[in-house]
Amino acid sequence: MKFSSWNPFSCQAATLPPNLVLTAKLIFIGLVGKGYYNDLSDHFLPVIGIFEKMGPPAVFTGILKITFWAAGVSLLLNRGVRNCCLILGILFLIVPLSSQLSYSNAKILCGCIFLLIGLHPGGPPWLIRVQLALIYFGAGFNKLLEPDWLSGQYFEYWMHQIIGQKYYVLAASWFPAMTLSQIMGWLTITVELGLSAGFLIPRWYPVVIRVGILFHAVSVLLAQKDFGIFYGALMASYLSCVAWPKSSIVFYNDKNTFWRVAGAFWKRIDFDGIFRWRGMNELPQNNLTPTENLCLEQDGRRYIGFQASKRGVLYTPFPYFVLVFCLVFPQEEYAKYRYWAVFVFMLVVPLADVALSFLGWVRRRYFF
Amino acid sequence: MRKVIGVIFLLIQAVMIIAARFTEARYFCWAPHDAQNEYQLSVEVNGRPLNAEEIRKRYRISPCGLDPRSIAHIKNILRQYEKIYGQNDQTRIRLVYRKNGIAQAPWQWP
Repeated sequence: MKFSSWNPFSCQAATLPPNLVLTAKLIFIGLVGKGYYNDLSDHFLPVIGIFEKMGPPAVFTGILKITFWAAGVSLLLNRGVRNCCLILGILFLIVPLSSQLSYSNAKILCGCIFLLIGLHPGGPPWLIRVQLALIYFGAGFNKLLEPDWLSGQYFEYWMHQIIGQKYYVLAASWFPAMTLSQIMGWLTITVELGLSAGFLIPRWYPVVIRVGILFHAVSVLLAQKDFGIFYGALMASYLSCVAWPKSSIVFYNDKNTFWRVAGAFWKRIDFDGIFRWRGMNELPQNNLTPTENLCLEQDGRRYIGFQASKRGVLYTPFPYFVLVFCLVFPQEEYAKYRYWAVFVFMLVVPLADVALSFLGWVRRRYFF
Repeated sequence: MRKVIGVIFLLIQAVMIIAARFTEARYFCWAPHDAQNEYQLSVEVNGRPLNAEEIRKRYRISPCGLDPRSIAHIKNILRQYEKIYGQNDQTRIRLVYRKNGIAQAPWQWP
């Protein structure tokens, strides 16, 4: 009988795929980092009247808080992961129903994602993918029927009067009045409806995920806020669209000091033992150039160099924990720097991808 | 069984997205930041005007501010409070607001 690890950075659970466990843990850490446990209010002005009969407000809030911490900590420690997700899902759906003051799309999003992870029936996590499609459809559809979004009035007022986004104001001055705001409004609607369709078609995921990340990075940067846990929870739930590899073997240059140290570090943060490590000389059908130091074989496909290290980072849960810690825990005065950091990070990876692919092509074409 | 519950849960959301078009409030339909409502609230209870702190204490919302949702959210809070907790008070509420920067007709209770 295999026991689950008590390590909070481990994402191996008997009943759920690692990417869903990782999603749930990231959202829970985000909720803690953003202080949502203080926002589990009493049943003041409930959406559904039955909550008024749920006893004294302090007791109601106390039960919510105890449930939040008990389920969350159990989730982190890999104890009853599926049940913990179900409990957290129900909790975050109860909170907005029990008080109109607690109503927020961010909490409902967390509730939906936790609940659907808990209900995951096996196979690809299509319940969460349909959830993502519904979120974007709802957002795009509602905006499409709002005259202020279509005319640009919403964006004009939001950027100029509410946020005072100086870069936006500067860019808007290059266009006739309202033009940029109208473009941004229509662009938002188009992207949201496009993402909605995209999340229903698995072969589009590589593009859909990149467009979604870029779209939200730009909106966070423009608004200078991450809309509570909404941005983080949505990004974490994108992991449901990633096919997590079943087997990964890393072949690395164990004669080179840098790669030996890098490999040792990587092994230490790979708490689930996702990657098996081999020396480069053990690589079967080794037709690589002599300068290659890293090769990754994942589910029968081979990746070399930057592609191998990129996939190594993407399929190791630990870097996601580091990212979420960096995004949610620093003080608010550093917020704008972390939004820029996220935005730059989003651009660095694809640009490095293109540049290194080009360099690799040049090297193969002209030097070997 | 889990699959059935999940599908029903998603179907309810799809229905809510359509149903929300027929209500002023945009609850449970994934419509965040559809409108920026700048509002100002004035309340009179039994002939006495409430100050900002009293309004905050009574309704647990700010007497003036910005709400990035449908203004019906604020109206519902005020209406529901008066129906449940404020039945014995003679309350007059006036909500002045601008939706996306454009002044709207004030809302009043009762």
